Amino acid sequence: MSDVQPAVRQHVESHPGVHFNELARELDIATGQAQYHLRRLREAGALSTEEIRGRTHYFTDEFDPWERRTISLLRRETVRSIIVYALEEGEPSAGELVDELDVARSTISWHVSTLVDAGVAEKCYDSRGRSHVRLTRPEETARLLDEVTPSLPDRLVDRFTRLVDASFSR
Amino acid sequence: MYQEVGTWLNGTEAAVLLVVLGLATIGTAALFLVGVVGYRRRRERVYLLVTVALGLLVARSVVGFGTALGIVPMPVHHLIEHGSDFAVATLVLYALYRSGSPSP
Repeated sequence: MSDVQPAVRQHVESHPGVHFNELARELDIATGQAQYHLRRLREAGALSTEEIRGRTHYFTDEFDPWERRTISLLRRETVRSIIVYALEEGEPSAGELVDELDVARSTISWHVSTLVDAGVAEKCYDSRGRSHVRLTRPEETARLLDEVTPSLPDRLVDRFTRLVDASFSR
Repeated sequence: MYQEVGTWLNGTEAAVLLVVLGLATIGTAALFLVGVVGYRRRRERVYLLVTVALGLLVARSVVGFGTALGIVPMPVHHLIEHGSDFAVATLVLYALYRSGSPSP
């Protein structure tokens, strides 16, 4: 029991922005046990959390809130590809993202609003009134890109939402 | 379980059926789980329709096991299976219908 807590802390340290489910699965501990240790670590100030679109991500205290939000989003496949495209191409328009990433417009607008809410990107408009996506801190975002990659369950859910958006969205 | 299935299938057929039922349950349950997480993220009606359709696929597998275990009689089994086929088709058709024509 006593060596579980350091293991939880170490896992969060080496997997910044890990989800609750992923942590419990990787460490092979029960849900209640994971909840207990995460709560204890949070109370002790050793861990901090970031909640984005209903999912909680765990961090050690080496990242500031903006970095935590960025890392959380870089764990999600579609939003990650939007960030990567914006890093490469500067300020892509929504239409460009739809064409280049080959996803539905509703998929793009949902993820762009998540990016804007998190302060990772902002919307700007060109002379023709089309909206573009501009990263707020491109250099720091590029640096954080290597910290994490999306997990398999995350990729599957992201692909499912892209499929539903592409098939059924207006 | 084996004895129940054994009344309408021979030994090999019964074993194959149980394996297929197991695989169907694992596959549909995984897909349903992905659907539930997707719906929880988006909270849109189209996600609800698709996820309910995926849930019905899981229910079919459960009913299949029910029949194999002798709990669900064969006529009820057929009624539920084909009824759920109708429901899945209706849900997906409705999702397609309400998606409308593409915006310019």
